[in-house]
Amino acid sequence: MIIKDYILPNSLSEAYELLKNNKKAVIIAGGAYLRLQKREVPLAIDIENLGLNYIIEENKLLKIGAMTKLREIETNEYAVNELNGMLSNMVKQIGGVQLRNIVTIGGSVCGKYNFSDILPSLIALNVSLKFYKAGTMNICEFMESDLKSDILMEIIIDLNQNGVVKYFKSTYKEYSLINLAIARNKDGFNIAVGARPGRAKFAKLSSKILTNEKDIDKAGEMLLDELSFKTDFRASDKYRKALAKTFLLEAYKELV
Amino acid sequence: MIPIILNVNNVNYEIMVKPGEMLLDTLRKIGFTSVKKSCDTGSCGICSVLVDGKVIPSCSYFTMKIQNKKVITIDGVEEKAREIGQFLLDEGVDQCGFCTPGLIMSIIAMENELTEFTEENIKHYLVGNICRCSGYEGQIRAIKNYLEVS
Repeated sequence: MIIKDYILPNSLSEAYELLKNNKKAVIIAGGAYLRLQKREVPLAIDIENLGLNYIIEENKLLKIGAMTKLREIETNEYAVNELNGMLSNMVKQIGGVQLRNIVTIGGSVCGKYNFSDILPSLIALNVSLKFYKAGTMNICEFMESDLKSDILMEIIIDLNQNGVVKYFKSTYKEYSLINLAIARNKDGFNIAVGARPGRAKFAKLSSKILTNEKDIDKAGEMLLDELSFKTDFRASDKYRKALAKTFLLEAYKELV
Repeated sequence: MIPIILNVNNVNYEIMVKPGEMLLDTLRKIGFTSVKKSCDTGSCGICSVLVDGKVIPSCSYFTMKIQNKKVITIDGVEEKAREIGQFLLDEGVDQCGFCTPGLIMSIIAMENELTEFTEENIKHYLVGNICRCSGYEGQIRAIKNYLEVS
C-alpha cells in the first residue's frame, strides 16, 4: 500500500471529519493486513490514539473497544472465562503472538475478511457493533450492508449465552480451511460458518432446525445445503463440507 | 516526509519518515541492521522487536504509530541476548543465525509475560518465529534449559 499522507487524529470527531471530507481515505486500525493490499491511498487516518483499546464488563455485557489487540482478547479474563472461552479461542491461532499484538478486533470486523476466524464467532454470538455515525447495529446487518465512511468504536457481546468455535488449519497458525461457531442463548442456537472459502455467514435454516427440533443430523444436512462451499487452493468443497458437518456435531456435543 | 521522534533502546532519534513507512525499514535506515527483513508480511517473526514491552513484527507496524512509545531491539538487551544465545549455541541451533535476533526478542517477551512455561505454552508463544534450518527440537531444548524447566 502506498500512503500519501498519514494522520493520527486526537478525537473521534476529528477522525470522522477527515474521513467524510476525503472519500478515498482509509482508516488504519492495526494496519498489518491492510498494508499488504496493492493500492494507493491519499490519506491514512490512524485511530490508534482515540482511547478505543479496552475490554469492560457491565451487567453481563462485554464491551470490547475496536482497537483492542487480539492478544489482549486472548488473555483477557472475561474472554477466557465467559462463553466457554470462545472469545479467547477464536483468536488463539491467528498468526503468532507478535502479529496478535498488532492486529485489532475492529480491523478484523471491518475488513470482512473471508478467512476470518473471528467473524463466525461474532455472528453466532449475535453481537452488536457501535459505529460513530451509524450508531449501533447487529453484526449480520453490518455484514450485508455496504457501510462506508464510518468508524467502528465498540463490539458489544451478550455474555448470557454459551458458545464453541472450531477451525481447521493445515499448520498451527495457517489460515483456516473452514471455521464454524455455534452459540446458544435463551432463544436457541445460532450457527455461523466462514472460510468456505467465502465470507462468514449465519446459517439461518440450520440454526432454526437445531433450535426447534434439536436434530443435529438434520441441522448438519441443512447446513451443507443452505451455505455455499467451494474449492480453492487450500481445500476442496467436499473436504470443507465434511469438516463443517463434523465440526457442527462436535461443537454441539460440547455445548449441550 | 514527516518529522517524528523515535525512541530506540532509550535514545531519541529525530528523523524524517515516509507516511506509510514500516518500523522495520525505519529501524534499518537509522542503523539497527540487527533487525532482519525476511517475509515482510508478519508471518516469520524474524523482524521482532519490543514496543512498550510487547513483541511485534516490525515489518507490519506503521512507524507513525510509534510516537511516545519505546522500541527495544536486540542491541538494547545485549547481555540477556548473549545469555540466551549461549543456550542456543550449546544445542547447536544457532545455525545460519538469521532468525536468532527475532527469536531471542520473543523469548524475552515470553519470559516477561508468561508465568508457566510448559512445552505447550512455549510452542504457542513462539509459533510466530520461524526457522528454516531445523525442526525446532533443538530450540525447544535450548529454551527449556534457559528457563530451567524440564
